[in-house]
Parts: sequence; C-alpha cells; structure tokens
Amino acid sequence: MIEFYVYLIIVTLIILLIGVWGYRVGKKTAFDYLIAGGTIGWIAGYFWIAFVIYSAWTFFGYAGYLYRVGPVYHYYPMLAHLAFAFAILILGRKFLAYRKIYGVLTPAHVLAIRYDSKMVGIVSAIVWTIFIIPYIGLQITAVGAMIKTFVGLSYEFGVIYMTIIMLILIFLGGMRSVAWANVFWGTIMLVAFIGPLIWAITLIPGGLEGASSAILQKDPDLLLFGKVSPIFGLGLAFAGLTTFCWPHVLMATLGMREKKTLVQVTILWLVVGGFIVYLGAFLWGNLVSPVLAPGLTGKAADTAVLVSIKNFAPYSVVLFVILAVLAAAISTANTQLMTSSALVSNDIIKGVRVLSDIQLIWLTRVITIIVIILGTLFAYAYPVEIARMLDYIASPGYSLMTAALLGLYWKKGTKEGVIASLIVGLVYLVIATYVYPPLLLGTHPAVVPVILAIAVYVLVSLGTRPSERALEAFEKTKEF
Amino acid sequence: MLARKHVLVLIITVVISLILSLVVFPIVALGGYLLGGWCPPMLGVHIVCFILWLIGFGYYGYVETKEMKGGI
Repeated sequence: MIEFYVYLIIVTLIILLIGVWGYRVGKKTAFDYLIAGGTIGWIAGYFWIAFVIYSAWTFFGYAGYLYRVGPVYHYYPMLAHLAFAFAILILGRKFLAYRKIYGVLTPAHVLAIRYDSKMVGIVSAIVWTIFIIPYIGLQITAVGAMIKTFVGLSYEFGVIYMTIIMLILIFLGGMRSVAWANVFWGTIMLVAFIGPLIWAITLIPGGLEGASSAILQKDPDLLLFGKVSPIFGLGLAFAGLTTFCWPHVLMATLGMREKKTLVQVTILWLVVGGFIVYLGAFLWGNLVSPVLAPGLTGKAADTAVLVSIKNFAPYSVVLFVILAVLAAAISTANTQLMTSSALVSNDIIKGVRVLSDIQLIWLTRVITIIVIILGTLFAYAYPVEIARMLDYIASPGYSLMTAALLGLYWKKGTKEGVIASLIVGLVYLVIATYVYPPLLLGTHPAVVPVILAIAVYVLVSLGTRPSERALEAFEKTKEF
Repeated sequence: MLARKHVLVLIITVVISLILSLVVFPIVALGGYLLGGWCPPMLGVHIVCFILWLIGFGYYGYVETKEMKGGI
C-alpha cells in the first residue's frame, strides 16, 4: 500500500512541474492556451494523440468485451486505428490550413468557417460536447471503481485525486502542459500494459498456442468469431470507421507544428498502435485473461486484465498497473476536458458574445470544472459497463459529424445540409437507442443514424446553395 | 493538394484491408478455422491490415513530405 502513496507523490510532483513549465513558457493568448500555439512536434504530438485515444477503456472496456464477446469486437478498435490515421494525416492537413488562413482554435470553428455559419459552429459544438461528457464520466468511473476495488481506498478518493491533477495541468499550462504530460502518462501506460503481458505469456503452459488450444476446447466462439451476429459485427466495423469524428483527436491535430509532423505522428500511430499497444490489448483480452482469470461475468469482466495481473504478480506491480490505468484515464480526460470547454467557450458563448483572449481563457477554465461535475454525475446516474459508455453513447454521437467533416472535401455541402443532418441524426439516435431499439435494425447504434444523417446532408445540400464566403473558404483550403 | 497518384496507393491498401477484415475474416472465423493451427483469424487479419496501412499511409506521407515546399 505504501508503494501506491509513493507512486502518487512522485506523479503529482512531476505533473506539477509540467504544469508550472507550461505556465512559464505560455504566451497567455487563447491560441497558445487552447492549442499550444501550434508548436507541438512529433514526439509530444504522437504521445498526445495516441494517449488521448488510449484511455481507461483500453484496460477495462475493450479487454472486457473481448473477454465476454470474443474477437469480433476487435473490429471497432482495429478499424478505428485506420480512421484515426485518416483524421491525423488527411483531415489534420485541412485543419492546419484553416488554422493558418483563419486562425481557428477548435474543430467546430473549422466547420463554422467552412460553411460560413456561426450556427453550424454552435450546433456542432453542442453535439460534440453532449457526447464528450459520458466519455469523461467513463474515465472517472473507471478510476474511482479501480481504486476502490484494488487499492482499498474510497471511490471518492480516486475521483478527487484525478480531478485535482487534471485541474493543475489545465489551469496552469493549458493544452501545452496537457500534451507534454501525455508523454509521461503514455510511457507509464506502455510499460505497465506490455511488461506484465510478456510476463503473463511465459506463465501459460504452451504460451499463446497453449492459450489458444485451451480456449478452443472450452468455448470456440470466443476464439474464432464471437458471440454477436455478423450484422452487428459489421456495425462495429462501421462504428470504428467513423471515429475520425472524435473532437479531442481533431483538436489535437490543430496543435501540431506543421504538415510533416502529421506524417510522422501517423506513422508512429500505426507502428506503435498496431504492433505494440493494440496487439497487446488483443492478446490480453482474447487469449491471456480468459486463461489466467477465467469465470468473470458482466461488469466484472471489465477488470479481466487487472485480475489476471493480480493472480501472478507481486502487489507492487499491481499497484503500478493501477497507476497506469490512472495515467491512461487522465491522459484522455485532460484533452477531452480542454476540448469540451473550448467548444463551449469559443464556439457557443463566443458565437453569440464578444470575448477578449483573457476572458476566453478564464471562461474555458471555469467550464472545465462544470464539465468535470457533469461527467461525474453522469457516471453516477448511468452506471453501465465501461465499454458501453464509449461505443454505445459517446462514439455514435461523435459519428453524427461524419457528413459535416467529409463536406470539407465536397464543394456543394451547405450549412442547411449540416444542420438538418445533425438534427435528424441526433433525434433518430436518441429515439432508437433509448426509446425504441428495433429502429437500430439489429446492428450497432452508430450505423442507421449516421447513414440517415449523411443522406439528409446530401439531399438538403443539393437543394440549397452554399454562400460565396463558404465557397471562398473551400477554395482557399483546397490545396491542402 | 492531395496528389491523386499517391492517394491511389493509399486507397488500394485500404480497400484490400477492408475486404480482408469484412469479407475474408467472417468466412474464416465462422467456418471454424484457425490460422497455422493455433492463431485466431482476427490476429492474422490485424497484423496484415496494419502492414497494409503502413504501406499506404507511409508511401503517401513520404511522397507528400518530399514534395513539400515548406511547412504550413
């Protein structure tokens, strides 16, 4: 137990140093505070983006789903890697063009310029913010529950510690500190996630081949396809492909130094993600945990990786892994908090009222606290499996932005098309998910609402005309 | 600007990876086959897909960087 307190003290000191450093080098402008002045290079850039994406969900929700449902669930994160590569390299170039030409600060700001409509910026910011809150709640729930179950401290301790650490970084250094802290968080997570995996494989008789044979004998579905229908599996793949709409990832691309940085980050993203992090995550959830920690059901399956490690490693290693889950949660929630607060302050409030840079910075800080409270309340009020918070609630909501973002490459897209598609998609998603599930047609919640939203976007856009300024923005950024 | 000939390599690798994961994987997995007698089909698909994406994005990024006349 004492080791855990030592880990926490060291981590807190390092975070404090990163926060103070960010405060000292920051220029006290909104551009600097919200997107690190566009100065992030490839090392910090990779860790920032990758560990914004790899969250407590990687340890808990994803591994839990693989453990319970089988490999078909891997469709979602695997194809999400492809979608994120698209977001970083292709959409990222476009976003940097908008930053250079128009000085944009958020993804919703990009859309407001592209469609020449403050309303598009406001509606986009509202949709993104609504669905980012459950995702922040996911991180807080995961940390609170883990600290309570595995360390013996209260749920509230985990929530309060996490909140304090995030506020230190955000209040002091803004996005620059948040980005550089991810280098630290990401290193901890990599070591704690992959080190015990290699150790665990050596403990299984026959290694991975032995694990595979054991699972095949016990339940072939968990090794071959999975316990869902093929149509739902395809829905998971579709949901994975629409993850390029995640606002906190798009926000991070706005902080990158230049186009070359985006190329470097994309290559690292595919190499480390494909051959270390998510190869490791797949092995943990599909082959290793079912052998080392069999018999977990329901929400308990979320902890399969942690229970596996607890079954063979000393307690100090378990505590280090818990620290890594905390790191994973904070590395994601920090940027999500900054993004959601920036969307509210820069796109919703500044959309209707003039604000100075200093007012915008302080407003963002205050909204951060409100978002933390809302995320925590949501997690209390809606206690579901961790995986569901991401792939049933947050991800389908983000996906509604698919048409608006792809419209960056389609000249005929109009503001009326964006607003109509968001309203129709949102209404359908809410009714189908929470009121009348047969409307989902037996597949993932993202599929039907997004296809409907894209159809509405195209039809309404073809029936309306883009403004001269919208066309000008399209032409000016076409070269990127 | 997105150079079309470079995008083509990216598109081809992505399409092959999608066929592999969305068509070949279900056939192999629902047919009850393991790769090499022990490897889960999804693991094989995962490795091949990431190699394909690395080729596609890597080639595209390499050529674009080479042709770039300065940062943004």
